[in-house]
Amino acid sequence: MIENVNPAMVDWARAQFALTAMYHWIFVPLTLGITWIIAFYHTIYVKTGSEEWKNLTRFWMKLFGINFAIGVATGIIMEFEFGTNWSNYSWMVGDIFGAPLAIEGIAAFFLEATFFAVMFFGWNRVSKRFHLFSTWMVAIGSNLSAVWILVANAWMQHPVGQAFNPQTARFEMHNFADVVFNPVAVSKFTHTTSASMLFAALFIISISSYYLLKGRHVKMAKRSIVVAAVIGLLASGFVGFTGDEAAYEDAQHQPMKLAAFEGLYQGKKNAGLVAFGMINSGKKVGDDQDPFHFEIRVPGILSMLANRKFGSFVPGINDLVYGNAEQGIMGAAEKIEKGRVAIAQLDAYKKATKAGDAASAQAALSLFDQNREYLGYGFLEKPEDAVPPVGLSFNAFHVMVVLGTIFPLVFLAFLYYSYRGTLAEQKWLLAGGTIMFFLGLAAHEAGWIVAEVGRQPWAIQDLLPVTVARSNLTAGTVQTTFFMFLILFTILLVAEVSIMLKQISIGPEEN
Amino acid sequence: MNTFLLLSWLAVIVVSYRLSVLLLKKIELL
Repeated sequence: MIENVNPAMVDWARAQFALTAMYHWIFVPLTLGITWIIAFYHTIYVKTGSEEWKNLTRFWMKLFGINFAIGVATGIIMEFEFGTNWSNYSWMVGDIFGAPLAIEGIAAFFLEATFFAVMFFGWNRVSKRFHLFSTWMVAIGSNLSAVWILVANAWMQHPVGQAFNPQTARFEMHNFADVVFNPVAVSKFTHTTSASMLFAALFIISISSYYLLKGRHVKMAKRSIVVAAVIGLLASGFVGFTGDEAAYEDAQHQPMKLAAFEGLYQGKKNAGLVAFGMINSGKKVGDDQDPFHFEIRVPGILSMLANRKFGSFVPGINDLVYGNAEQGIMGAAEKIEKGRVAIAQLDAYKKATKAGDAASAQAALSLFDQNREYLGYGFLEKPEDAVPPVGLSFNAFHVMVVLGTIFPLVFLAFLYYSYRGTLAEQKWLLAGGTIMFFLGLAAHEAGWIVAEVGRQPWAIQDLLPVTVARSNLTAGTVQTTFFMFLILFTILLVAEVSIMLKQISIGPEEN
Repeated sequence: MNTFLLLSWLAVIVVSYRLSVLLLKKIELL
């Protein structure tokens, strides 16, 4: 199988998926987060009956509507790419991966889309209470969509509740509850959706800051900011907490990913977290170059993140590639050997079964079972192939963490001056506030890179490398559709930005 | 841990709403 791999095709297929996902990821977090904030505004309107709160709610709803439509378009294309570019993946794990995606489409997305229509067009057409109920259902439905998508993604990072069927060479679901309550899924869901609340709060603060700077819609902007800054502040604290949980899960199930985040080549006890540093992107595994141009580490923090214990051992990239007998860590080289045995025995099992040789089939199956957990490693050419792009993972992780540390301070500053009643006079803060949306976007995209680049070379952790998950296409075919999508998505983005800018320039209705 | 994470997530939403309303009232924007 591996002899047929066309690396250029795999790279283009990965680039295409990354392009689609990163465009999709501009719109989705805003949808996930802003629906809650709109539900808050709408509730306040229904409770007070104030026309000013109604206009405020309608304004943010309008911006959300524009964003929602384009997010759906990119999401649908992404699901098709599983079939076009990753057909081996879809064939091998469709039984498991397909289930959450189907539930997402049928239950969550339909729920969200149905109530979206009522929420958007229901003003003066349905009762106030049902209208408000619809707004809350849009928030619940869109976040339920995220549950199922993240359950599917988490399964790729930590494939639980499954078993490999040697007769069909496919992975089959054995326990649905294990897949749904996968600890990686829960940590991903809570981290991603709370980060989306934070991002939506920054979006509202950016536009409201612009209005305050211009002296337009002042009362509406101040009200919008208070609600956004409160949810932003609480969400940013929770993002930190769930981020810590995500790092712990990575250490347990994807130690190579955590080592790449931190540029940790040599494992150590009482391992430090890089507070500030510049990674040497030219370093390769096994050479004697220094991994950093310079670095400042805070001792013990990485050990604490990884194992909940200061002083504990955190394996480095070298330990995971070449093994560390002292710490009982099996290296990728040994895993490759075992994986190749698994592949060979699987082949022998199929041949013996076909020939009707039950004894040989049983012997092959027994050997396969002993080595099945290393199946994916058998497709790697060399141990160093088990290492993700370290420079990109490190930089994305630290951009995410640094920005995640700045955001709560921003929300606090907005709340403090709102409380003092002097927010409109703080021109420096408002000027900074207008660019916060872009910093939020950078943090979100960095988070996506951390999760997806950090798990390379695996489509499914330890079981299926991306080189085997791909379709049997030529690089040229994927290259052509890559540029088609690039043009299409750019047009969609330009359309969204221009429609939004027009609506922002018009502003909310005034009484 | 799963239950704790999910309940805390819900608490972020509920507490955010309550705190927003309290603050809006305090600074006379509601």
